[in-house]
Amino acid sequence: MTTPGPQLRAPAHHVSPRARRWWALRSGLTTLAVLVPQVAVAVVLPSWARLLLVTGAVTLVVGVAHLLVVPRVRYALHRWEVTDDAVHTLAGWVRLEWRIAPITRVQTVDTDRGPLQRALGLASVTVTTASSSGALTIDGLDLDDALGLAERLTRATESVGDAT
Amino acid sequence: MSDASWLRLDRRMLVVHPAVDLVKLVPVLVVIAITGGSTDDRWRLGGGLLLAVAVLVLGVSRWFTTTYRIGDDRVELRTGLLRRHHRSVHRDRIRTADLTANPAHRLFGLAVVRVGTGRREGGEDAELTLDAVRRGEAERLRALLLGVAPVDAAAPVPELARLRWGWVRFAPLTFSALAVVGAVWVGLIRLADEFSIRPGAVVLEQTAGRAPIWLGAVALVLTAVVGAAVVFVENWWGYRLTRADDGGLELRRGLLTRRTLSLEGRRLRGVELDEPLLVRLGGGARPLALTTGLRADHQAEHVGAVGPAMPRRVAHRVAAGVLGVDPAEATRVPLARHPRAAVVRRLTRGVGPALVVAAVLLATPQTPADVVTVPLVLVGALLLALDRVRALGHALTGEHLVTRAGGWVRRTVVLRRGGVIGWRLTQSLTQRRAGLVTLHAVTAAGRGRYEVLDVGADRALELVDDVTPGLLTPFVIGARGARSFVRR
Repeated sequence: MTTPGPQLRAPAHHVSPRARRWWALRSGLTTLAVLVPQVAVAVVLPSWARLLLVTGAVTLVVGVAHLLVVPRVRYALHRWEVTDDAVHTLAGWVRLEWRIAPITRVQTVDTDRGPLQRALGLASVTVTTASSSGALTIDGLDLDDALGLAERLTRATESVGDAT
Repeated sequence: MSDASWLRLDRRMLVVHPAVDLVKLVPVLVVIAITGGSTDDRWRLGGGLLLAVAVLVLGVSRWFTTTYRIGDDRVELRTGLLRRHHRSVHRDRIRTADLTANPAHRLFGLAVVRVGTGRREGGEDAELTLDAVRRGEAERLRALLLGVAPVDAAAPVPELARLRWGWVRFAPLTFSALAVVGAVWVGLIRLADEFSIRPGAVVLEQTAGRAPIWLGAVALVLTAVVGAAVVFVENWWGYRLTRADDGGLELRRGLLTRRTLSLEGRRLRGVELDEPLLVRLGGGARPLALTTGLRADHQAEHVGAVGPAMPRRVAHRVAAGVLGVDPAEATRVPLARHPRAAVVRRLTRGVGPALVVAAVLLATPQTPADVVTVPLVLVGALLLALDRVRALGHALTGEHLVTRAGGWVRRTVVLRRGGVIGWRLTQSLTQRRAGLVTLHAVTAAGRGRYEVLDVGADRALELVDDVTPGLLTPFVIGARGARSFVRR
C-alpha cells in the first residue's frame, strides 16, 4: 500500500512559546462565556438549577480539558518557514495541511494584533495571493518576528508585477 | 479619441428608463385597481397616479443626473438625484467591458456598457455601468477601453464555435431543466392564485386525483423539455465564440437580451470540461474558461461558461481551441491512473454509506419494499463509485496540469503551469494510512484552487517540483517508506 517515496521534513520554526498562553486564555474566556449565562440562569430560576448543574459541570470539564490540551498540541503542530522561494506553513493533527505561497506570487502581507495578542506581545501574519483561496496565516508569532517577517516579505514582493 | 468632456447617456433613455420602470410598476397598479373597495376609490386612484408620476419623474431625472467622462487615464461616472455618487476607475485597471441589451434597449438600438476591473473583492464597487448608449457608441467604447480594434463585421475572425440547433437536446438533461420545471409550476400556481382560482380539496380530488399517475409524469417531463428548450433558445440564440486579436475570446449570445462578453487573453489560466451525469449519458459536455476576475455574481452557474452543453467531441475541440492547442494536449490527454489505494478509497467511500442505509432499511420492519430498494441502493452506489474510479486521473503536459475527478459532475480541469500561484497538500488520517495525499493547485482563476484527488505522496511532490521547480527541495529528506508525507 505504501509508496516509499521522498518524505518532507517539517518547516523549521515553531510560533512563539507565548502563543500557548494566548490560546489558553482564549480557550478559558470562551468557556467562561458559555458558563456564566448558565450560572446566571441557575440563580434566577432555581427550578432549573439541577439541570444546569449538570450542563455546567460538563462545560467546565470540557473547557478545562480543551484549555490544557489544545494549546500544547497546536504549538507542537504549527510550523512555518520562509525559504528563498516561498512561504510554507504546516498545521493539523488528524488532517495535515501544508500550504505553500511562492514569494513571487504574494500580493499583500498583513499583521494583526488583537487585544490578547497585544498584551502578550504577539501578532498574526496573513499572506495573501491573487487566489480567492490562497491565504496563509501564521498565528501567535513573537511581535518582533512578525514585524521582521512582514517587512521581509513586503520588500520581496515590491519587485514583482502582477502576481496573478 | 479621449476627450475630457462630460457626456450624457443616449437621449432615447429619456423614454426607455421611465417606460421600463412603469412596466415594472404595472403589477402594483393592477393590484391597486383590483383590490379597489367601494368607499375610498378616489384615494386609491390618486395614490396610484401619484406613484406613476413619481416613477416617471425619477426615470426622466436619471438622464439629467447621469454623466460620464472617458479621460486619458480614468473613466468617471456621476449619478444620483438627491444623493450624488461619483465613481472613477483607472483605465489601466479595466479588465472587462461587456455589452448587454435587453429587449427595451434593443428596440431603441441601445446597449449597456459594463466596465469591470476584474477585482473580486469590493463587489459591486469594482464595476461601472453605462445604462445605456447607442449600439455603435457602445462598440466604440468597448474597443477604446480594452485597447482593441473595433469589431469589423466584414473582417474574418477565427471562429471557435457556433450554435448548432441539435444541441438543444442536451438542454433538458442539465440541472437547470429541473429549476425550470419548478419555476413554471410555481408560476402557474401563483397565476391561478392571482385570479382567485383556488380549487378546493374536493374539486382537486375529483379531477387531478383521478388522473392517472403517468399523466402527471408526462406533464412534468413535458414542462422540463419545453421549458429547458425555451431557456436554451433565450440564452444561446446567435451563440458565437471567436478569438480576438490579443489571444482573448469574444462570446456573443442571447435572443431577447443580447450579450457580448470578452475575455482577455492574458487573464486566461486554463479550461474546464464539465460532464454532469445526465449530460454525460447523453454524450455531451460543457466547456468553461478559467479566467481571473470574472464577476462572481448571482449567475454563478454561467461564470466562465464559453458554450452550452454540446456533443463531447465538439466540447473537447472548443476547450482546446480556447487554449490554442490540440485536444490531445488538453482535455483529451491520456491521464495517469492513481494508486490502487485511491481506487479502494473511492469504493469504500461510495459503498460504505449505502451499506449503512441498507442495514437501516433491513432493520426497520418494512419488508415488502426492501426487496427492491436495498439492491437498488447498493447497486446504484457501487456503479457511482466505479464511475468515480474511472474518472480519477491526472497528467502533466509541457504547458498544463490536467486533473479529472467526479461522478455526478465529472470535471476535467486543464490549468496552465504558469497559472499555478501556490499549493496546498492535505492528508487525512485514512489517506496517511494509504500513503495518499490530495494536492491542491492554487490559482487566481475560477474556483481559486483545483485538486488532484488521492494521488500518491511521492507523485504529488513530483508534480509540485515539476511545475514550480525547487519550491520543496529544501524540505526533502531521504525516503524511509513512511506513510505520512511529512516527518515531524
